[in-house]
Amino acid sequence: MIELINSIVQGILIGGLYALFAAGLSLVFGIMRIVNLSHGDLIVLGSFLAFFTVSTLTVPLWLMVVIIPLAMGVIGYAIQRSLLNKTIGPDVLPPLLITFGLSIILQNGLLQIFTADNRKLDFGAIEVMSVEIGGIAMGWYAILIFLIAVTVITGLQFISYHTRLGRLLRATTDDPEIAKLMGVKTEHIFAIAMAIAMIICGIAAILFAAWTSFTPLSGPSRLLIAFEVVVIGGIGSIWGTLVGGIILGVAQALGGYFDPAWQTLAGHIVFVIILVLRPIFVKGFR
Amino acid sequence: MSFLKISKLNAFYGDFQALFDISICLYEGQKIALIGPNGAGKSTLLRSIAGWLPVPRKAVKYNKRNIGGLPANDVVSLGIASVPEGRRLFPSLSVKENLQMGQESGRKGVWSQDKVMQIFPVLRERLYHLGSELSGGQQQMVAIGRALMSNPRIVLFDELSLGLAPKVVNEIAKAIPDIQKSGVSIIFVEQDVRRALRLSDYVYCILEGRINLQGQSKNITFEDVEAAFWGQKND
Repeated sequence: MIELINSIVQGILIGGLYALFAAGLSLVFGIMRIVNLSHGDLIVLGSFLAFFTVSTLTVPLWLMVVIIPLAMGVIGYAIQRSLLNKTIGPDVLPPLLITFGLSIILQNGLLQIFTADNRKLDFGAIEVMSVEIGGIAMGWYAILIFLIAVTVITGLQFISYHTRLGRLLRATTDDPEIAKLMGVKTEHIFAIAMAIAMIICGIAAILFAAWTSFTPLSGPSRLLIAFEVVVIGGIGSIWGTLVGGIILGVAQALGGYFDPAWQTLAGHIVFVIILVLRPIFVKGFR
Repeated sequence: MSFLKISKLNAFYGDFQALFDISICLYEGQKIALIGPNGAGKSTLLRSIAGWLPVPRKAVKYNKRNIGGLPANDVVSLGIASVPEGRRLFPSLSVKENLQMGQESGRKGVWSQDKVMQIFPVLRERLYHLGSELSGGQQQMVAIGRALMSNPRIVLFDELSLGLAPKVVNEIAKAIPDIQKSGVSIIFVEQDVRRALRLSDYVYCILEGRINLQGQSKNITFEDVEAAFWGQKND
């Protein structure tokens, strides 16, 4: 019994990381109606940049943790402004094709530069430290991931509802045409939204890089997780991504508890069940 | 002196031509009414001025500057605000936030949230409601307030009264003198011909993308407009 509870707790904690994978995807889709197929590969890019800064450039860990999210934000702004803004329109196909192309370029570019070797970021002792509460062992690193996820999502919620930027983002989500008519530079707002999404990706990328090993081809599986979380939690819902992440994390943990081979599959099955049932009972955990 | 001049404007939706050689003059402080049947091109004309449609630069002249086809966000910061057809408030923003959106043009002036509340007192207790929770008339008031918050020189009203109860329309019409006093000129689209003639100084009838009747509102009768609508020549 205690083992079962243990698995559930692990699932909840890792759900935080899944929520971080998904938050950026959800934000970008909510505001620009772009399904970013390169989302997972951008996370992997962040992981490689983090790995590169620490191991090759020997930048101290604390500094890397600051630099990478900011660098990802800048990359996000540049990609949106120079590339994706040109694809936005009534037709949904161009953004799909462009981000699909971007995904291929990123994967193969990373393969060229970093080879297909497995990499992992080393955070030292914290990765193996754990605390036991009532017989449930929780890794400090998993707890840290979860706390960061909650902080990021709370921050995103705060920006959305209590700042001018948030108002502009919501107005642009509602009706980009009218936002422009009010004097909003929507191209800029779109790029800011992508920058925020990529900052979150950068944070997720670092956490993920120390959690498991990764290769240049790890992107699509991250994208799949992000997609499932967004669908479970409700598109455009900020807290929904956390709920979705936790549901997926717990489903995987429970699957793994009964049979390790079922871990990934259990997550997918729960996703399909929710996808089918969703229209019947909820319109998102708003 | 006219400060907004539309000359020989042709506008297209893809291959479809919606406006043919439209020329219009707006003088400072004037109220122009655009009337015509559905699909005649009235909204298209307003959209062309506001920067929604790609029109030639020289087709729209404002304050001695050619502004045709400028992006909508530039047009509003020059002082041409819009009350779009169907109000189109931001549904997930509160009334207060909707009004704040009007300030994004960055223009300074006399209009503030308080001043909007003065001309539309009913909005005062609705400030924290979502735009989507208001009645049609209140939504129209917010849409007008939102346009005024940008301290415009010209307001383009698309469909002043469409879908609203006559009582509400009168309430909104009552605010027009206050709006004018702040130095705003108005171009509005109105379905009700008598109301359009009553509220405006000058009127243009548009039929199938062409102006087929224009003149001082006081010199034009309902019958003139009726004849123009049916495409008959007025001898």
